[in-house]
Amino acid sequence: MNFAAPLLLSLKLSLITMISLFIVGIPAAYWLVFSRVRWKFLVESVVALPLVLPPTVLGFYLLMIVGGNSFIGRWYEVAFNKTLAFSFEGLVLGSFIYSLPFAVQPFQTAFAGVDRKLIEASWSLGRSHLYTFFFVILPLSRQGIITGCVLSFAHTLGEFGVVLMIGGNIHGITKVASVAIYDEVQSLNYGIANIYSAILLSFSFIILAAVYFINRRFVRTI
Amino acid sequence: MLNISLQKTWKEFGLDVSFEIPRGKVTALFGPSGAGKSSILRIISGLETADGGIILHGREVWFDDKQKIHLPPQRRSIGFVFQDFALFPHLTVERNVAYGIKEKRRLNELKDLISLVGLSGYERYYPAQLSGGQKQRVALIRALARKPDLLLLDEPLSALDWETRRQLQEDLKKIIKQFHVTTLYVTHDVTEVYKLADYVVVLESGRVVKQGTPEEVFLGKKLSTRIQIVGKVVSIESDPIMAVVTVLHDDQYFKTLIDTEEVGRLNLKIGNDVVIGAKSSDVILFKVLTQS
Repeated sequence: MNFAAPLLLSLKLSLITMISLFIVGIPAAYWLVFSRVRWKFLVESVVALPLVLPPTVLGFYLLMIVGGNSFIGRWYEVAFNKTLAFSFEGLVLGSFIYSLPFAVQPFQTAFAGVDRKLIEASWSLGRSHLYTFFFVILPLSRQGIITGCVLSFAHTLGEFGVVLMIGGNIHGITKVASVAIYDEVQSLNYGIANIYSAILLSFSFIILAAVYFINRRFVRTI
Repeated sequence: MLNISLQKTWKEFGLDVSFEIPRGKVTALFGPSGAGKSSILRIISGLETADGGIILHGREVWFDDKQKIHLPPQRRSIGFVFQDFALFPHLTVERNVAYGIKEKRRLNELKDLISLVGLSGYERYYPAQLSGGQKQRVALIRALARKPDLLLLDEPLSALDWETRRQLQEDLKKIIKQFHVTTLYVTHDVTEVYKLADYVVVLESGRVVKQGTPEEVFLGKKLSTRIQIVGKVVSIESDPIMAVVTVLHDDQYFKTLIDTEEVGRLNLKIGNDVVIGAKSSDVILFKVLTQS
């Protein structure tokens, strides 16, 4: 159980992150594609920041924001009677932000790729923006949405820096697989580190292969 | 009756038109490409906004810049047929046609609607499995299915080959008649205007230059001929005095003799759209014997 705990924690974290990114990322991507406000590029840059920043920078600021001395950190402590930093919830927040571009950008590309004429056809047939979104834009973006979800899942599975900064290394609570590998190497347990690594490697490979397979099939059916 | 008066300025182009669309009739918006026809259609549908002007549909105000009224397309009772069909690729023919129908009880009319455009049996096909002509029929019946007050067609036949086009012109005429729907038809093809339109508005670089019945507009007068055939000139054989002009109408050829001088005066060329008229008072009609 001790051995499996970090792996299960990684899976749980990835799954929750993926679901939250789906829920928040879909409307965010819609806004980024269809809004006409001028400062849209600023939001786009913020969303893309995790792509270029070292995870430690992100982790550091997140720690500052959610730590016991910040407003949010204190509010959370009062509300839920525990700290956000060094907790699983903190990990979810960190992973959410860190994997944001991996979900939002594929969603955005997919929405932008829907033929404008089809959207206008839907409006001209008396259907609202919301109806058009659910019955035209979303189904035609299926491939990009699957890609975004799978990538954010895989990326969360593979993250290390942010998780270590914000969550630390508490067994069963914040010690995910990637951190466990680092831990085992530090303790010179190369055997266990190897098993963890092999599992992560094969898992990530399978996920990516699945994404490329789906995309390939999609291209063929067009 | 629709009253339309619109102004809009783009970087290198201005639109300033006002005309009426008579109720229950087919009005053609005719002009060369770049005259602003499609823009007018998009503004009437609400997909684009004009800088100024007014669009009145009976007593309903669709657009009025002074009152700051701009109804979104969803709230205008329109059917829009796009040039490239714009069928939903992920929906079957049946679900495409049903898309604009909001009353559940009307869904049992689907079968009739689809058979009306001759696509019975194709209900479960996807757009990618249809020919261009079939796609256009689906687009037309999809637009009509919600019983709009105004049908807008944006060069609906221009993406099709000549043969399909010719056949669809007939069907289009029949179907529009059947629905009694006020129609605005954008085209740059004179033959189509003659075939389909009761009324024509001629547009040139963003201005209305003429309007009236096709005869008034294209011939400048009302012809009192017994026979009129609209077609395209396919050959002109002239000698110094007379010229034989061959005109193609549907798949029939008509030859007519005119003064060679007249050919020059009209600047008649192969490819021109022309009307052949016959004034004789004793047009003869024979019934073909093999028909009952």
